[in-house]
Amino acid sequence: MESFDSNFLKQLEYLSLVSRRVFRGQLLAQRRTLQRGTGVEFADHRQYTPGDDFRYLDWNLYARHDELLLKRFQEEADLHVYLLLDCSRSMDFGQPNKFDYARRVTAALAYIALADLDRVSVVAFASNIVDVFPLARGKQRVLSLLKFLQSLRCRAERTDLERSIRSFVHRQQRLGLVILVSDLFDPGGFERGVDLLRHHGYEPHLVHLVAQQEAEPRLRGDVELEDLETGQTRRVTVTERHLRQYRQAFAEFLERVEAYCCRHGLGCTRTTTQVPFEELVLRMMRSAGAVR
Amino acid sequence: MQWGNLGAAWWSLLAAAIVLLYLLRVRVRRQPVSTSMFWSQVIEPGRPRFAWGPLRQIGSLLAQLLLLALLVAALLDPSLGGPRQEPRRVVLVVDQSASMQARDAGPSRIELARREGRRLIHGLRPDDELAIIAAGSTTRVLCGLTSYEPELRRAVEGIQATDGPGRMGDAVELSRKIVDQQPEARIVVVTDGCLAEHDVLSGEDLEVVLVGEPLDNVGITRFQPRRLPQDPLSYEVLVEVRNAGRRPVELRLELELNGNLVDVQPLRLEPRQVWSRVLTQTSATGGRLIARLRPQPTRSPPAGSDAAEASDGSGTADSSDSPARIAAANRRAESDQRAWSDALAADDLAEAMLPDRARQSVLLVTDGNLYLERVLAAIPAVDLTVTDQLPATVPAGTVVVYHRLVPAVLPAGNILVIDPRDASDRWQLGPSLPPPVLVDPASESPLLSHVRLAEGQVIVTDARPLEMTVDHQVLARAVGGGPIYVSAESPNGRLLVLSVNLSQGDLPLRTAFPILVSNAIHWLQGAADEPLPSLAEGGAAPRDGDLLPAEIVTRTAPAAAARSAGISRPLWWELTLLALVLLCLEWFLYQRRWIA
Repeated sequence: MESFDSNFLKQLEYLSLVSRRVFRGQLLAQRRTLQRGTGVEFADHRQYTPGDDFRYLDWNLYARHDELLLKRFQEEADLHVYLLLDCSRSMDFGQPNKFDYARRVTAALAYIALADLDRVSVVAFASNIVDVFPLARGKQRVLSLLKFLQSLRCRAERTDLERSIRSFVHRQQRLGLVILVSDLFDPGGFERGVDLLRHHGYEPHLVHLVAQQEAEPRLRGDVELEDLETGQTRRVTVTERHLRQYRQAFAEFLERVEAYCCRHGLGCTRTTTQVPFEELVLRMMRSAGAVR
Repeated sequence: MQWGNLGAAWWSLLAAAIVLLYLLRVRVRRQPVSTSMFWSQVIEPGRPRFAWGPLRQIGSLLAQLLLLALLVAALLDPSLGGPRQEPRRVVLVVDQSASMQARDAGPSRIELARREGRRLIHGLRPDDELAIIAAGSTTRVLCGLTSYEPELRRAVEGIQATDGPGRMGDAVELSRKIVDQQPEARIVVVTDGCLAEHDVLSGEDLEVVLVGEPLDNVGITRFQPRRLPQDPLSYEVLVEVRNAGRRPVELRLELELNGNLVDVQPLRLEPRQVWSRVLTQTSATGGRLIARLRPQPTRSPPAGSDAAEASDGSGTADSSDSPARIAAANRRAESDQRAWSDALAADDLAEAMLPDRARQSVLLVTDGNLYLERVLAAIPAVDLTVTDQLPATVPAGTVVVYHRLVPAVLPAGNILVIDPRDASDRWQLGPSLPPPVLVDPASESPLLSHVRLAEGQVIVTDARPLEMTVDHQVLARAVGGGPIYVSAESPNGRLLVLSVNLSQGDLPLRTAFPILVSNAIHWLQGAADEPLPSLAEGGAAPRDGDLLPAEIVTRTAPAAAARSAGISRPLWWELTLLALVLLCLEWFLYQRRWIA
């Protein structure tokens, strides 16, 4: 396992310990969810409607105010963490390779979640969902998770976030945290796919990966550009003016991602592959709150 | 148009290689990108990259062919005008006369001459040879015929102006000998035209490059001091000042000996006027004699203004020789010196070494005479020794003065005998004369210079006539008696005998006595009639003070015409420079992809 060697596992253990120190005092595997259910912690009241369970009527309140109100409790459940990993061909680019970097980040986040006794699932997608690591719990599933990640390959397909996430949300599964690890190079726009997550009650968080060669391309003169996702080639003559315009367009794309996340209150972590993945994970834990 | 290296035309075949490379299809580099959606925003698909796209390749080809053409043209060594096929033999003659030190508006004329030399070297082709000759007081070959440029440049940089005249005739003659019978031979003379022998600058093989502009100048053209034969304490100086300008000037000539001002001569010189004078001064000591031209001092300001300024209110400004007034005068003199502009400073000052008068040892053998001792001691440059015993031996070169005490046989050497009491081997004494009346038949003798013994000027009461036994000359005699002052010369030395009793009469009290003794000592020294040599330095020859070019020279070819006529510069440098500019332009266009 070249990508996940012993040093990598040591770093995962370190990240897990750091995450425990950070969130000390909280109950493991007992996260509050937005679902109202049969927990022991009172949440609020609501009007009684016929068919409700009489056991949850607040008789004391009925005696005082002559009004039938139903007590609601916050259900305590395990956190479900879904890691959506982009396996499109555009991820197989850059030095260091974006896909390798994405797998490491995914592995780190999954390891931390498993160590916290959360339920973790990894969903690989390109133009659609290509592979799924089902929900798992406990550190004993780490090795199988790593094997799954190592078996993944970049598909010669273009990114289609909307289609992939539509397939994801139509599955019968519990809501939870969705961490999208991708370069977001979707010609149709990344917003539609993330909107689906939001609208279906998931908590999306974007891990936006950018290769240095994408931000600062070093192309000059007559070249034949080859789109890795589509395989199309195109002869262009790149001048300094074109490079300036490219940098401006790329910067506008990054601003668009940030503005979207800010507008909808989503967590967003953008990084280049030059940054060590453990530093990225720590930064996410401390500032973005992706890992609680 | 002439071509110096036609063999380089083979390089033009490289054009075929360039065209062949142009015809080959260039494989465009493939560059994978993660997504093309940003490139699609930058470069619209389907839009031609350049409006002149088909011409980009042609433009690049033409640029490279033009670059090759320029380089091949540079290798062909083209030139405009002048004989190109035969190697040239050029002799550069640089005027080194004092007038080349003159500064016109910019650098000195000799620096302008060096620039002409550098330009000439730069214009040489590989097969050309150049010799460099310096025409100063002596003609020197600084560099023989060679094409080795570093040696030529070293020779040019070593050219300096001298303080003497330039012997241009010798230099031109030597140049003609160097390039005699040589094809394509030329002689280039760089001069300011201020030459005494300007008629030598003619001939078909001669090109004259004039440097400098006509300037006014006043200079010392002669300066020669010497000791006077008659008076060893005095010296005279021959000074000649020439106004070579076109305007009258007022200035003064100052003469300094060892830094002490000894004479000042105010001068007013009309254009082309030559002032010559022999100045006589007195000094026993020699040393450095300097003649200097200075401007006439400006009129001093009203009394008290300048001095009061310098006195800082001390109240001593009214004193005529106060330090403040002297300082103010010095400042005015310095200001005048700065304001006085002379194109050639070298001839404003002349120096010479005035020899010291040689010291003379004198041995006085006397039984005592205060007057004689004091007179001998007062003569400058005399080392006096007094004794009352006849010496057994006399040191060589010592003048012996016998007063009253006389040996029977006189030793060899120069001897002055005063009032001898006894006869010797060279004279016999007659009987004492009654108070004689002296006459001086040899008054023209240097021994009696400035001395009057006759006509009762000196009263002598005791004298004895001399009967000389050797050849002699009578300097003074008593009327009716015999000679009382004689001189004699022999291979053994000179002899003076004065048979006058100094204790009687008033001769020691007369002014003539110290002069008489001084003349006698100087005559006995033996070099009285030989002018003492002196070393003169500075002061140029008459023509060299003149900074106005001779008319014959001004009619010769000017510098630019001379250069265009024979020393044309090759064009390979310009062509190479043009190729470099084209290369930079091609790089610029390629970087912007205006050409492929």
